[in-house]
Amino acid sequence: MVTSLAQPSLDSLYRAHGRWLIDWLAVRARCHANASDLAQETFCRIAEQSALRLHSHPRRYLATVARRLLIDDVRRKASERAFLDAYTLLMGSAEQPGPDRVAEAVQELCAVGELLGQLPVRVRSAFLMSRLDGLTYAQIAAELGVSASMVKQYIARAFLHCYVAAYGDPD
Amino acid sequence: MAIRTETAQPSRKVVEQAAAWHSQLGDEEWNESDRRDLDAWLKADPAHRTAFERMTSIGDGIAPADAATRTALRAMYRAKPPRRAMLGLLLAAGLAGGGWLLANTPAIRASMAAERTAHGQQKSATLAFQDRITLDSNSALDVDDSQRTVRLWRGAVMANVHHGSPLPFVVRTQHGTAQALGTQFSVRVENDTTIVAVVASHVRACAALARPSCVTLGAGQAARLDAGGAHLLPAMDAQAEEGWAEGLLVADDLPLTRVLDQLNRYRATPIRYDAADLKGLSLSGTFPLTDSEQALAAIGAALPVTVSVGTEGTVVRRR
Repeated sequence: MVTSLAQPSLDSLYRAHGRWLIDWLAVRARCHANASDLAQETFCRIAEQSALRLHSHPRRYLATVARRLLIDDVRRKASERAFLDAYTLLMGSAEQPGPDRVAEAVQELCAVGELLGQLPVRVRSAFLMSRLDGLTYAQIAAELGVSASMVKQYIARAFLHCYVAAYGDPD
Repeated sequence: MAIRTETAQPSRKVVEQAAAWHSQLGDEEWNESDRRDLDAWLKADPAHRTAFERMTSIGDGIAPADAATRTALRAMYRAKPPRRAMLGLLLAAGLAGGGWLLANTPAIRASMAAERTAHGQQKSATLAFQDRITLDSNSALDVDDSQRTVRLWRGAVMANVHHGSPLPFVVRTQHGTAQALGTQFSVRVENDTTIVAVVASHVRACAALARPSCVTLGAGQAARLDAGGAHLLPAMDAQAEEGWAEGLLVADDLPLTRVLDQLNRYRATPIRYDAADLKGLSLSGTFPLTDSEQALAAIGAALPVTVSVGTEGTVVRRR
């Protein structure tokens, strides 16, 4: 096996910056236990990547990966809370969803969030009203206070955006 | 045997056309002749079909099969459910749902908000992301730590935003939002408007009502958010919002009527005055907001006015 000498090993990276990363995350995450988990996950993410891009600014790179995980974590928690609230609203507080059910919903909500999160709120709302609630363009237009032809443009824009988010920018 | 199957990679133009077809397809005016045109377009090039089918699966993926997940999705991304579905929810949820519906007016939400202050009272708290907020007299707000968002229902909040978090800090009111791009700013709900004033660094203030628009404010600037959009205000308005979190009214050639208005926010019974009578009087200085008697004494000494306390309350008149 040939190890490139130019790449720092994960082990040395962890020894040099692990503590720093946990501290960095602890300020930003909501509890310390969470910070350790996220730090570990950051190193796992980096281990999965074939080419380490850590030569000149290892901490900056670690922070970039960790920041993404932190946002995912916040998003997951928000999704979980929204799902549990919705479940209670629909089923009453006596019923509790099983952990698999929660995990599945969180995954689904995060996936949709990934697709729609960056869209302007009107475009996103129009898209959801159409796909989720089955409203006609005229009804959506009335809800949003815009013309039906504008709603049509919103929907086309949302489809285009989701396509790019899922399949990358076409040439 | 070498058979090369080329996956048709749709070009940008084809993807845009596919998006236009999908939006056309959702239109209630969609008819048989449109259907024939679409079929012809799909047959014209395999890349057309690829792009179109990818979007079909995206569109299906947006609508989860499970009712609770759908409800969660609506709540998270703020698409209003149609009235019929709302009624369904209401029936399913019984009284709790009814309460939730009723609770959608700011006045009622204010009375149920997690953080409230009485007249003359101020309150400070540190939030999950280390942001520090101060709640002004007679104010109400809710905090959503997971979203790093404060929902202000009534009164005013001063935010000292903590640096280095990936999520932006946002204050939301019924008229719009103020998103911190830096450190310290104040948001106040007043009558039919929201006033955003920046003490340090920058804030992006966006009106969310009939005419959505945004302005980016620097230190010492203020904006008003209302049904007409986001409007930049004179520097005087930013100044008026600056010191309240320290319990101080910092005035630099501020009209007396505005000084009295601000003192009134902290009093259960307002100081009365006739705006025409006090027109043209202004003052500079630093006054304690929560001790308006002391402030009034200073005003009486500095300006040609009398402060009288009688059966009609405290009245300020020109001498």
